[in-house]
Amino acid sequence: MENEGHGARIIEIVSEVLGMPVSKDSAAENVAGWDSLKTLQMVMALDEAGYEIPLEKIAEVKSVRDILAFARKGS
Amino acid sequence: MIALLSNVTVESLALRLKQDVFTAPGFDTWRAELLNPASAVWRDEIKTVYVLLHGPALFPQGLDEDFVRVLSEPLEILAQAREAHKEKVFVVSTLDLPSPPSLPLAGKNFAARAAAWWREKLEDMDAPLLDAAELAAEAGRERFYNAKTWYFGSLPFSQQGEALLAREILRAEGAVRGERKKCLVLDLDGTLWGGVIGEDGVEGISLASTGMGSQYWDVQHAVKALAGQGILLAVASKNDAEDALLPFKKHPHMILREDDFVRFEIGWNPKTESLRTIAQGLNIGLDSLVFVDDNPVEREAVRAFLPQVAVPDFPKDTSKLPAFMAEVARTYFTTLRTGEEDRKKTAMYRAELRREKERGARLSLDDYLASLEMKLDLHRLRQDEIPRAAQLSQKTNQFNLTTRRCTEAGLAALMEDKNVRIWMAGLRDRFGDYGRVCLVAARLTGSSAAVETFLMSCRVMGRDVENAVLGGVERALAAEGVTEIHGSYRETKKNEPVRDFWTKMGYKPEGDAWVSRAPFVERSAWIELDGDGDDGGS
Repeated sequence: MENEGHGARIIEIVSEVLGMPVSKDSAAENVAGWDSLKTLQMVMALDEAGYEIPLEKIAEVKSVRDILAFARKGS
Repeated sequence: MIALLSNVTVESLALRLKQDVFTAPGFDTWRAELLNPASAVWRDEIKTVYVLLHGPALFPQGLDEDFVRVLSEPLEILAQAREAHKEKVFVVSTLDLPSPPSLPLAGKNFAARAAAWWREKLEDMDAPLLDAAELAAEAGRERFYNAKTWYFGSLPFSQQGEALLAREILRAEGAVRGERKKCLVLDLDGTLWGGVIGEDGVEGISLASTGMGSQYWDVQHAVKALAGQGILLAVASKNDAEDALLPFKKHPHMILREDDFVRFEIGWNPKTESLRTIAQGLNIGLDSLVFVDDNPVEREAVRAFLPQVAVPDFPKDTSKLPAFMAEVARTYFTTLRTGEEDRKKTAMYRAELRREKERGARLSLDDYLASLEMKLDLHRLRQDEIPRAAQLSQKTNQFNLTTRRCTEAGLAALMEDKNVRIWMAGLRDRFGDYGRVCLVAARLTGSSAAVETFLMSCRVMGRDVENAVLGGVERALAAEGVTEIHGSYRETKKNEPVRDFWTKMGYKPEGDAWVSRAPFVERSAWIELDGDGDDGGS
């Protein structure tokens, strides 16, 4: 998997945005309150921490696994 | 409850406010909401309407010289809504408008002009501002905005940008609800100037208009600005009161003056006591106080024992002081607007406080002096006291009218002079014996006498001792047939406290001296005279 070393940090950021702990198996359909707004906030929070999800991939984010797959450590 | 209207996506920002926020359904519907008399915005529960406008989104066709026409419409809508709903507070954002990317160096910057025009119009409307442009400038656009969420979801702000906007909105809400603090209580040493006044002196403290020391100059400007907005200023300082006030009187770069403050609590009491006294004296709650002190021990003590008082952390590096003070101002003293009436009210409040303070101080000072049961032993200088007299003469700086320094030999010679009278005074009170603390010398010429030396140890200043001493000296001189006494004052760097001594004692200025003629005035009810001013001597 990509982001081997960063996975824990990314999951932590996603948990912070959602206000509850999630795992790498969590997905929008099984986490209460994970709507498109939350996804947007995750993109913002990840950006600030230096993890970039490409603009074209944001619409495809449906799970933590997606985020781990899409996020790239930015410069 | 508040309403948050915008021309961009603000649902994420609304979440960060962590309170009940009405956001209009749909996108860029803020105009329709404001124009619709049936809008949910006008519900009674909503007290404040925030209108946050993302500048560039107001110019979908690009920003050019036609900006006034583009901006006039939203401005008109805002003006109408304010007129129709005077029961609501409208807080409107300024516009952050980046310059066009390909501006020639000599071109007209319509973005800057449009932003300035918008701000000016809002100011003319006396609208409280949500200063998005300033936030963007402070954070930097790179950090304030997020292009990704803008293109994906019409959300222009970064997480940091939203956090800053949320902070400003919450501050404005505090101001709307009247949660503004009333009084800023300041420490002196290390807070308003660098160094320790009691040790470094007026020349030694760090305070300047440029370069090193000017961080304190800038801080004082920030504090002064607060005073101009109706914030009461007070001092809580562990210091000698006279030392602590010296910079206010003497330092050329003090921006703050004594009359900018409504109260000085200077002494060695715990600061928790000073804060209580200040709150009681101003008749405000402890929760209206903000306490700023560079000493972490003092801050912790206040946090622990007076948790109602707001105690912001103090920056470790003094270059951060002005920014810190600006932050304190924004955090605790934000207000919607300062009217002329408020400023006048503040001045009146201060005048009343000063009167009360003076009345209170006089009353309690009298009580205090009477309670001391002071006894003064005034006598002609004895041979065995010459060393102590010389010591007083050499060491006394503040309460020293002429600062003539005498050696033991010099004093012995003066004692031989049959035209010279020298007195020494000792003081006791119910707490103990202060020893010999006062030295006076007068030269007789016929029926007149000139006081050549009058000095007193600063340990017994502020107790009216000088009054009793002078009274004793006057009686002793009168007994010798003196009908006219001349006092003099020679200014030094340190003896400002006694500049007005002779006037206070009832002497009239004549030339460069002060004169009193028999019968001399009755003096000091507080101090019992042990000696008659005439025993001892040679």
